Amino acid sequence: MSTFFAVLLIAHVLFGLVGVMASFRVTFLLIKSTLPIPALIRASMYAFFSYLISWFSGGWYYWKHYGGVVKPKIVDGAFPWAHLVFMEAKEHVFLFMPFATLCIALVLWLKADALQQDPALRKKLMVLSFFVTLLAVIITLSGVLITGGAR
Amino acid sequence: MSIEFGIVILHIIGTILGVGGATMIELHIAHALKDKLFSKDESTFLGIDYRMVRIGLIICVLSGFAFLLLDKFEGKTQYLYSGKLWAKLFIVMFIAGNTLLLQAHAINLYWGSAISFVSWWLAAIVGMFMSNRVQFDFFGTGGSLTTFFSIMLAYIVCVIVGAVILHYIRKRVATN
Amino acid sequence: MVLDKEICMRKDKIVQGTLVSASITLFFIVGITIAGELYKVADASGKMVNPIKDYLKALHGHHWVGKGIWAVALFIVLSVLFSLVLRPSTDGKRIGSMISALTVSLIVCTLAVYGFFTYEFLIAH
Repeated sequence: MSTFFAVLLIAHVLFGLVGVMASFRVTFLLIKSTLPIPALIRASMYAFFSYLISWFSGGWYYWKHYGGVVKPKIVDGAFPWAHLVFMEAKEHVFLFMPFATLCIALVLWLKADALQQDPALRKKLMVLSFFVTLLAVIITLSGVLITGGAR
Repeated sequence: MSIEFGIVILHIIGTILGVGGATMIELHIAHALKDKLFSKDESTFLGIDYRMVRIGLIICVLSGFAFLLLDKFEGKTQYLYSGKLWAKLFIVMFIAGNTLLLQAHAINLYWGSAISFVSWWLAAIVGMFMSNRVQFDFFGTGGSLTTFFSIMLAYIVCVIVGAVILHYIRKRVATN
Repeated sequence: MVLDKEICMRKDKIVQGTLVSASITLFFIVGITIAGELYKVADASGKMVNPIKDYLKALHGHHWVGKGIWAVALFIVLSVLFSLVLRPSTDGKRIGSMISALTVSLIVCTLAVYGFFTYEFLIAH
């Protein structure tokens, strides 16, 4: 693997993890009775932009390297499901993240007052953020399975 | 100094902060519960302990995935299917999930603190098993799945035993 | 005071617009993914091909890249459209419902994608 693709893969994993941690922080802060709005907006923006960087770096790696070099190894190897199930699912499910996290960031940024005053609204946003975090974790674990399948 | 050694150092730092922080949380909670009240100082110390655990967890997660990337670049991807690795990944998820439950008061201190404390210590011990290639398999097959389930079984037992011991320690501290 | 109310209404419409379009975009991604896999025709030599995936590849270089571009485009167009068309709400109930709808969309779409590829793998192997 060239240095360029190694850097792309590292960036994809690193920013993916930063995104997961930021999404987790948003969920955690939304549970508090008094919302720390500036911290929430910051965390939600970190999540959105981290997933964007992870998307583009991973996407370029996937398009220009994975398909031709890694995928055949997995599909022809002992763990074809690593690509046929987990990679196929992951590459599409990852597309959900930027849209969901952008919505969370916009709600926090533009409806902060309503969130402070309305516990029901806050709870619904917390639930959305929780599932975004859970999905991010599932995507991360899928990545581990995919990489492990390439022997 | 190799990249791997650098990652090991970072991972150990994260583990020390996390395990140390989780241990200090239990000690401070036991002390604070003596008079069943959390004073301002006690809350401040607990806040510092929580921050220490948080920083430890971030360092552990990032360095942990750095190990996996190194395995990928060195062509040792078989380790990504290790039962011990997946047990550690799940334990980290339990730590994170437990944090949310504690924050939402959806779990009581009895179980919440036991899960947090045991998770950190067990993750550290499983890490030592990994680096010393120690087998941990109740089913005797040495396979990834059986190793994973053996560690999860041990984890459940440790959480139950840990909850009882921590409760006993808090009661002893309260009566002294 | 009037300007504040105007800004508040605009913020509300933007939030509503993006929430609704996000839910629709998620279902679009699932739809085009599953359709792309299932819709197969025989080409001139009798080999089965996926016209949708091939069309996206011809247009954008890779079917997955095409899906991403189309999803972003759809999201932007729908967000602008819904932000203009939807009326601002006076309480948090409508936005709360839209957030819940996005949560349900996320869960359903994730299960659909993982479920579909798991099913495809199991019937092929």
